[in-house]
Amino acid sequence: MSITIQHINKGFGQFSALRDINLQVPSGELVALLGPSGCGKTTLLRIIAGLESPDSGQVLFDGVDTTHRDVRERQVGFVFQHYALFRHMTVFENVAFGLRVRPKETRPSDAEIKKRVHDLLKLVQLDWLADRYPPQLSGGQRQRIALARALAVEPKVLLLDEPFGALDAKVRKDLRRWLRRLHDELHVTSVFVTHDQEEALEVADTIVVMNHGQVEQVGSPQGVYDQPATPFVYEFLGNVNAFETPQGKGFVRPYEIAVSRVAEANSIPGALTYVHSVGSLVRLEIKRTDNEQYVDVELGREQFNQLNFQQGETVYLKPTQLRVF
Amino acid sequence: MHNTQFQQYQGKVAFKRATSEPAWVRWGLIGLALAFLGLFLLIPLAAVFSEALRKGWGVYLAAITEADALSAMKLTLIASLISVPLNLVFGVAAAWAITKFDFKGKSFLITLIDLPFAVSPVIAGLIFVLIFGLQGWFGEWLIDHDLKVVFAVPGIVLATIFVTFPFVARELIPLMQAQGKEEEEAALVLGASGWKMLWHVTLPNVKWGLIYGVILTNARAMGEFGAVSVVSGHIRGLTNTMPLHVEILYNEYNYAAAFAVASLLTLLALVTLVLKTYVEWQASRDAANIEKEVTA
Repeated sequence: MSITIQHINKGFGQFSALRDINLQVPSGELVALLGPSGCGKTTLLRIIAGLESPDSGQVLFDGVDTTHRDVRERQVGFVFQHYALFRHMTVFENVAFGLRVRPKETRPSDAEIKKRVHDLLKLVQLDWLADRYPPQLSGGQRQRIALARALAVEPKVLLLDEPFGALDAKVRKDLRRWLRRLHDELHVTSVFVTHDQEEALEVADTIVVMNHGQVEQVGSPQGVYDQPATPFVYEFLGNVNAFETPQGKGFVRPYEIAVSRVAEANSIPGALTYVHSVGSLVRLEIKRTDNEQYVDVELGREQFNQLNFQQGETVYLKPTQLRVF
Repeated sequence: MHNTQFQQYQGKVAFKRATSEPAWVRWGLIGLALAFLGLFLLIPLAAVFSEALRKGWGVYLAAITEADALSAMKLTLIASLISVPLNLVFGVAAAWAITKFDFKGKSFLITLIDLPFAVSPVIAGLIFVLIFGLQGWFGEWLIDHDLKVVFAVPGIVLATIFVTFPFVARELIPLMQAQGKEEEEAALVLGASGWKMLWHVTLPNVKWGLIYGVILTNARAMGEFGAVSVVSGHIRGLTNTMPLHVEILYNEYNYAAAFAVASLLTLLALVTLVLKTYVEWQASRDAANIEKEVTA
């Protein structure tokens, strides 16, 4: 099911959380709402779910206006940041909840519910935890149960609020690959909120970068990373160096700078203050002689070994690509 | 070398834990606390029962089976049987509204809930006399329609509801605030109706707090004196609750009977304490069980 968002505005008292948001999520895609905390991404997700109502604007599911439809009738699956599992129910009952609360006419039989729940628990690879209670599970397990519970009602849209926010780095990485594979298997239109650019770049088909209640850019991971539309996107996604140029503020990625010992026309002199050489990339920290500002440069290990720069040496920088705003 | 040095030290330095006090301080404080407990709790408790039984079991049984005493017990039961369920519903509704929704005047509502704690029960009783009494705002209308509120059972029930209003809400609000509203939202997204959400998600999560609140409400409803005394009119066999009956007997120098009825109220207090301890123990056991299995 596709989601269309038209001219959404939302304020909380004096604070304007969302300003004229327009967005199109094609059916079956996995979309990331990416931005710093307080940018309005969670509010937008909750408006799509029907947990908040916008001050103005429309939410359309498959072209049908659902702005005023009750959250219960929207057929969305929502995975909460802190999972929100029912703490007094077993894992099985948690997953079965959405089926059990249906009105009698549409409620599946007990045997069907049992089968469905066990199928879902197998899908999230936690069938063996059916009789446990949520506080007895690890964070990663809770997250997967929350997902199974959301999927139990066969949602047309799956919404995830910071799905990996509360997990440690290792579990996070495993789970986001797993989510990607699960999405490829189920093809349910999914929107997830994150403040972690790496997460968004790795998992999503499309990234929506948000700041101060507005959409800054929408595009593929590569698109937003390589061709940032605004200074904010440049600074938020990946490392970047800012230069003052006569035409305005210029942005250069650390790997878009050539370093040499020889001065050229328009090259910038600087002192190599620090070399960080762990991993496949070598990061150089260079202090410009003209205005004492620091510039980050990334070189491949082989290239670095050939040039063999020493700490303290004077080097000359020349951006190979510069975008001016 | 090290060994001998250590032995030397061992003789001289008394190893003292940072948190321990000298023995005389410890025993002194424990003794003081016990003496205080004995003087203000245990001796009065024993006195109630010994006074009640001073003239023997026969007089005791006669005092608590006498018609006026039985009618006082009946009235006390009626008052608490009406006020406890009502305040259970009011308390859940108020705590629900305050913790799960944002609205204007929320802090005012919280203040209102606390009002019965802040106001003297006697004033609470007088308010009902002012509203429903003969010279009160609705006095004439009530007489015209042949209804009696003050100096009758409805007044007693109203006064009891008023003074016991805060217990359930006060018990639930911090609990529900700590739990947040994510689970309720999850239930809604999964398609649960308001009732199903309340019944399957909200109430099970606050179960022990709710029972605790009900126990306290009941104890206060049965023991309330001040507010009920003002609206009751002290009509024997008709508008006397147990605490009022005790007072009347005592004023008539009928000590044995007064203490006999008082001993029933004391037993109620003891039962309440046992129930309260049991509920607290159950609640902490639930929490501990979950903890244990997590670490296992």
